[in-house]
Amino acid sequence: MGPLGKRWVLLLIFLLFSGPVLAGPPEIPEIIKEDGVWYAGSGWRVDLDGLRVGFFKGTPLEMGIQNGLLMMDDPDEMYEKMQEMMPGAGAETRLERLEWFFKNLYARLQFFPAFLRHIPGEYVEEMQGFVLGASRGEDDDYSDILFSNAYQDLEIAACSAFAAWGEATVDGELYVGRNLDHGAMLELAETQYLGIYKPDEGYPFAVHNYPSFVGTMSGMNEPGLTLTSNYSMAKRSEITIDGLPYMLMMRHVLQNAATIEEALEIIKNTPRTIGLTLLLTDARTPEAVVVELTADRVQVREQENYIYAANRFLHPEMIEFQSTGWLASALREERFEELIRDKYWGQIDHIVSADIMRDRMPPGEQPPHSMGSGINNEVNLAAMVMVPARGEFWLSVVDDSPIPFAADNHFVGVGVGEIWATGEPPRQSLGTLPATPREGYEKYWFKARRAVLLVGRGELEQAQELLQEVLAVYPEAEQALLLKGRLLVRQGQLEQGREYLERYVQLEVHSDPFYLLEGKFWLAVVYDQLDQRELAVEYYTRALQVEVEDLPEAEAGYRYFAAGDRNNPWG
Amino acid sequence: MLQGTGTTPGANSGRAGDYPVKKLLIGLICILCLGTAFMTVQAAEEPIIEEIIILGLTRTSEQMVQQQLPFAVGDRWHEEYRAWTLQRLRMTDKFSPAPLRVITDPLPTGGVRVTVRVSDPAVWYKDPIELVASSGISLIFGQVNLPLYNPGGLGQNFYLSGSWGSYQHLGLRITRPVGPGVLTLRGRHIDYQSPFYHEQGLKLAGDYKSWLHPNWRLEASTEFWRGALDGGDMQILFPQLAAYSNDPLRGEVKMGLGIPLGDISPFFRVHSQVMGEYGPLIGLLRGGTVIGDEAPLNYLFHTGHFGLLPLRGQGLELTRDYLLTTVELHWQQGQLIPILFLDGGFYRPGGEGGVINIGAGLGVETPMGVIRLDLGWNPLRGTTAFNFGFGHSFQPPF
Repeated sequence: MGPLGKRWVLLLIFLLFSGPVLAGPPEIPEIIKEDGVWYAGSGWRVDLDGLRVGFFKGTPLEMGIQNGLLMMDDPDEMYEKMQEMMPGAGAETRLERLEWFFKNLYARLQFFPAFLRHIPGEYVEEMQGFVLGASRGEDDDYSDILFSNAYQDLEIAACSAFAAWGEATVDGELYVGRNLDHGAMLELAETQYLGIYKPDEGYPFAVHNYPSFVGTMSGMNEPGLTLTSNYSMAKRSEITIDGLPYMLMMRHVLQNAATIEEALEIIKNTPRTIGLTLLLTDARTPEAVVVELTADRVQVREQENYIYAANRFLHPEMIEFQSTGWLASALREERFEELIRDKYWGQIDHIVSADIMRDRMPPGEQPPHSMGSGINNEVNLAAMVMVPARGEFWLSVVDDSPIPFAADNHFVGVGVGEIWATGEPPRQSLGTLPATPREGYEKYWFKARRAVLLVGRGELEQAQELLQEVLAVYPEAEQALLLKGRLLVRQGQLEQGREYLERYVQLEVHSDPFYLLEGKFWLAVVYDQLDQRELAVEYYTRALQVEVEDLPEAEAGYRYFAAGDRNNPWG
Repeated sequence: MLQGTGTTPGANSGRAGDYPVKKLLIGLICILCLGTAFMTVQAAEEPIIEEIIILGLTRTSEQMVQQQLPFAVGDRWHEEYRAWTLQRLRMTDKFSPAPLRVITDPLPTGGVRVTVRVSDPAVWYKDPIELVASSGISLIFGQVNLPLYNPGGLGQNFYLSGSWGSYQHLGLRITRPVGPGVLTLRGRHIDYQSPFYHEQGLKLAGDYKSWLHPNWRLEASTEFWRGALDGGDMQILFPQLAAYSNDPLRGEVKMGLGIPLGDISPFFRVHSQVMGEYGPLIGLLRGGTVIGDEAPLNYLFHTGHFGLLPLRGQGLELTRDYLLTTVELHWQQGQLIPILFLDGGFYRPGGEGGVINIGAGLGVETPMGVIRLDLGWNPLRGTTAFNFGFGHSFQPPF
């Protein structure tokens, strides 16, 4: 090799090893505010009728930085919120804290490297960018961001979605309605935003998201696909933590697939983690499918003109891999059928779609005072309607209420299609859909559902007050009767509790069989406590006779104890 | 010819004798036809593999996993492929124990999609807790082991090891999947002061093993040892063939030929074992022999405690020929396994008249496997011994 060749080799070695040094830390653009729009590099943020809308453009690192700068108003506050959501955040005793310290250490050593091995480098770069932006260039440690993108694979939530097109809709176009329901994420609800991406590589896409999320749970892309996720509890043998966090898989699909076939190909070839039912639609055909999957299995459910997904598998090949977990999938599916097929057939547009997601009625809408959850419920933290053919994304606005009831807030329409085309911030929204008036039945429904959530959080006194208010106006409100009865029993007021439980059990119609099973069981327990053994045995027997189509985790426990206590008062 | 002699009594009796034979032949043909038809129908019921997806690889190449699959697109799916594939993939020691699955999804076309789910572990460990625990235990026993799982993504695992005390060694083992099996190369420098001999030198070995059938595995290996035994120089080439089976019998046979590259004569070593279970009773029958009077001591068999031929009520002994049986009664109570055992049989030299060891032990199931403490007693000699170790004395051959 001549001297010239040697120089070339030396130069090559120098370039190889000096690249990162020469590149230096990435430049953090300044945030500039003009005419109500915040700009950072090629990105911008605008607030439309109370909805935060962000636009991110460029390389993964650039988009991450823009996102961190524009959407993270208070990084410390956000960090605290994320910490509160961490498993083990509620640990009280030293022993519990020690246990969670080791669990978190194990997660860092075992799960995080596994996640990292599966996450495409571009998303890791975007996470680094986000941390750089949020910290204004001070930090690039993305380990907590990694957790917030994988957290969804560890905590189980609910969610519902439907798509309607062809004969079902007013103009034949495809409409998608989607509720994001997740009790543990309610704290994050107010930080939501609509993120519109124009990456250097891949298709432009728009997602509903929260700060620090690089993955997503709901979105649509420029070619016309939409993708939304619903959990579906799968058997332990069907899940794993050693895979790509599913929110990142969804992001990957939205950024890289133009057709349902391409999307399925990506999903099929992704090392997945948990059980999901994904609603996948294509506005151009138009068509929609529900992809039912576990970590290793994929089946596709198809239907003409409309389709929906709650939190259980309906594909015959997937049912055997279902585990118990979330209640009321059957009820929501029934409501989707009733609303789409019977009530709104041929009339569905974006307004009707929002109404469907606000549904609070039991199947048959009888009695109209059940106060139970319908498609809508108390852990709903985001609601949206997508009209992909027109590039419209309608998202409900959420304030800082501890229980947001997102679907009942006003929706803001954003023309994301135009933003993809121009890259310019819109001066106004496409319009708004008014919030549900807090009056009449609705007013008391909110109180009853709030009480349900408060009981779950242990705030019993406030829950009691709310239930009292509901029952004063709707004395036959089944959910309120049951809850009130159970609360009184829990507080040792057996006779009063019995009275409410009796009133609940004696109602002519019960919207959800599981609650009837629960009511009869507790009534039996009360009679046992009151030394009325004959009545106790009768109610244990009646509880065991209730058939539940759904998959509530507690059902097996109730049946076990009902069967045991029926035969033996000492259990 | 027979027809032409139809009138003769002999011929008649001959024809009468042929008749059942013919019937038998026709019957056999019918059975064969029916059997073939049945098998064809059975085969036709098995779905065709239309798609194979390998999920979860981040370092190892997909081709490396594909080589281990006993099926291909277009084949008919047989249920035995599931266990067969898992056996082969586990043998590579390249993937995390979970998730390691073979899943079949029926397709609308009537075919089947096979998903092979694997996961490359971290380079240093498969599980951090296991790493800490196994390192701690190794240190207690005076050794260090450092595995590196496919660090460069080229398919090799590296295992570095060292130990001190009476058995000092420094070793490197490299494994790599090749074809439908695994090739292993190893080198180890040893300085071992056993109660019976002093062994020093370098051992180089290579082996190739493969599950050629869901229920049996073949292994071919060769070892070259160059060193000193009690001060005398030695060079020995030791090729060995082994076969393992897990159904219908669980057992193994190993045959090796010692070829000294010096003054001593060649020797032949063979041993085998068969294991059986009946409820809580577990039995193991083992036999072995070394043919050749000049076989070096370090190629003989050892009796004694864990990891050796179990005679748990007495100390270590060197053995040329043996026929030993072990019977254990396991009374599992959750994580705890109280155990009664009996070791007995014959061995030579030292146990020609027969030997019996009896005892009791306690095993504890841990994520790392079973940890055991046994107390054995040889009633004929009046000796007792404690044995502590990992796994069971009847450890299946693989």
